[in-house]
Amino acid sequence: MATMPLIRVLIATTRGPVEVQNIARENPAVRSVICVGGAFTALPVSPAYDAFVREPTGVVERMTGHPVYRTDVAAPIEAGESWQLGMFLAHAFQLSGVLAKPGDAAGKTILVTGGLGRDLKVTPVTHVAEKLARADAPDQGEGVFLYPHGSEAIADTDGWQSLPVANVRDALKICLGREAAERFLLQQPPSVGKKIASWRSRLRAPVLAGAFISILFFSAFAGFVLRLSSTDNKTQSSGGNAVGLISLSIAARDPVSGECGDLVAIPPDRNVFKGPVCFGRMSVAERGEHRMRMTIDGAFSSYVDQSRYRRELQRMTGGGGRLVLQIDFPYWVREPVSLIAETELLGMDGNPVHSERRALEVMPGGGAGY
Amino acid sequence: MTEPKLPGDDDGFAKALFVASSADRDIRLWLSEAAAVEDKPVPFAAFVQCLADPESATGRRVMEMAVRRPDVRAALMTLASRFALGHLPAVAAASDGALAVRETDAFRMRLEAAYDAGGLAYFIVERLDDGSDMPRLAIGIPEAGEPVMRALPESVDGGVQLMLPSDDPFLHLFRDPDSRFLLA
Repeated sequence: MATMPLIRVLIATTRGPVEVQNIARENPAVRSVICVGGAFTALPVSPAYDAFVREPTGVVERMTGHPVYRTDVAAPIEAGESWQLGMFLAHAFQLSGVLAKPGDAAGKTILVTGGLGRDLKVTPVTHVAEKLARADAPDQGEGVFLYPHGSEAIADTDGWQSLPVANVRDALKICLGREAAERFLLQQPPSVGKKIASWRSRLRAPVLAGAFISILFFSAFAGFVLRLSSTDNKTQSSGGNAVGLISLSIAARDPVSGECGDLVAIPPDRNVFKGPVCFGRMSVAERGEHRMRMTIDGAFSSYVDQSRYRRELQRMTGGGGRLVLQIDFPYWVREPVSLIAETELLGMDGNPVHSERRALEVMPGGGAGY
Repeated sequence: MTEPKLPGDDDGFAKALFVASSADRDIRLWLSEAAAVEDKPVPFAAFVQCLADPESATGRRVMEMAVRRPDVRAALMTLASRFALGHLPAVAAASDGALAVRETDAFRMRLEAAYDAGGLAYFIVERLDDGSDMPRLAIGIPEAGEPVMRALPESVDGGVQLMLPSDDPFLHLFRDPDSRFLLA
């Protein structure tokens, strides 16, 4: 994927194409926003974008594992849903490292219009031909115009090859190529894999489809745990804790610059950390279904929304993969707080058969003055 | 002595029509022939429109004038205070001197750092009770000095979020426990 040419994403609008310039992960305590060219003003479409990103309504978090983004575009995007497919593809390309930024030489430019359902099927939009007519030929590379399957057929124009797409799989194949698209899709969580399998089942004879779905679903699941494993590579490289179920790590915050440092594994026998912390991360590798929980508790809990400092995850792991849960610390708190990581390994009946709890006292002020 | 009744005094619709037409005339006057006069009086209707929708053309104009003119600032403050949805008083000093949450029964205001910490911060207003009215204007009032106002975008779900440069004076006020806030 790293050697693939960069792809520029243009959202087709009736006022002309709008380039997706940058996508950046943002603090989970805020809402996703779309801004124009790095400005401080969120576009009115931002609440809809937040809902499009964040689970349970959104689809982007399901793909990337992160709930909040700040996305910069070159010009305003009006209300409506026709930006959704293009924005989803931009997130996919960002995740794959192939999203072209301003100034990058793009091997391909895609101009996209289409809504997107939670099942990742492309939904119809209006003014399709008008949006294409407003676009000049791309400056560099191949130009592809993607629009919803089922719309009136659109002819190729100067610089743009027009292709209808029924779902995300179609779009990714066109943009990344068949092999790269399959590789990308297999790395997605099972919930996304299920959608892919259901599309495939309509394209194959029933018997073949059943076999394919089984293989694909298993592969998607394996890809999911491998992805979790790869996203936690810092944790693994830092050693972690191989003694119990829970590996606990923290990223310290530089008290001067405020920047987050690398993850540091917390050995099982350590229960105090002195200094500010950006976030804590727990992971479990034991095969089976886990119910994981992380909480940050302290005097500040009485005046904040406590749900922000409590995260839970219940999911299966297996095949050498890890389940990872991460929680941000309240950066403004200087009093000691407790980071508590708990997990329960669930039996076939859903009841816990084994549990483990780790607690770490964090003293953001370094332990002095309290 | 009681004032004599005028035609329409008992007619609610006529009253509403009178108020609307007066406000309309008020704004038209302000926006048209008197527009070039810098220190002209600002009509009541313009203040009301500013509070109702500070991002409108009239609202932005009143807020810009409030920055430059003490009389407009004072009038807007008085009106905002009268119709405020939330009063957030000065608070006890935070342990680290950097306040990030202020709260009343109805509203919570909080600051959140962006991952790109050098550039901006997020100012968030959330409605905590069952009420549906959301503020369109946040006013920070320092213990000494001039207030700082920020227009808030319209909310559809009881939450409002603003992005502010990390050196924005509004943020400084927020972190200052001696300052107080109005949500109008």
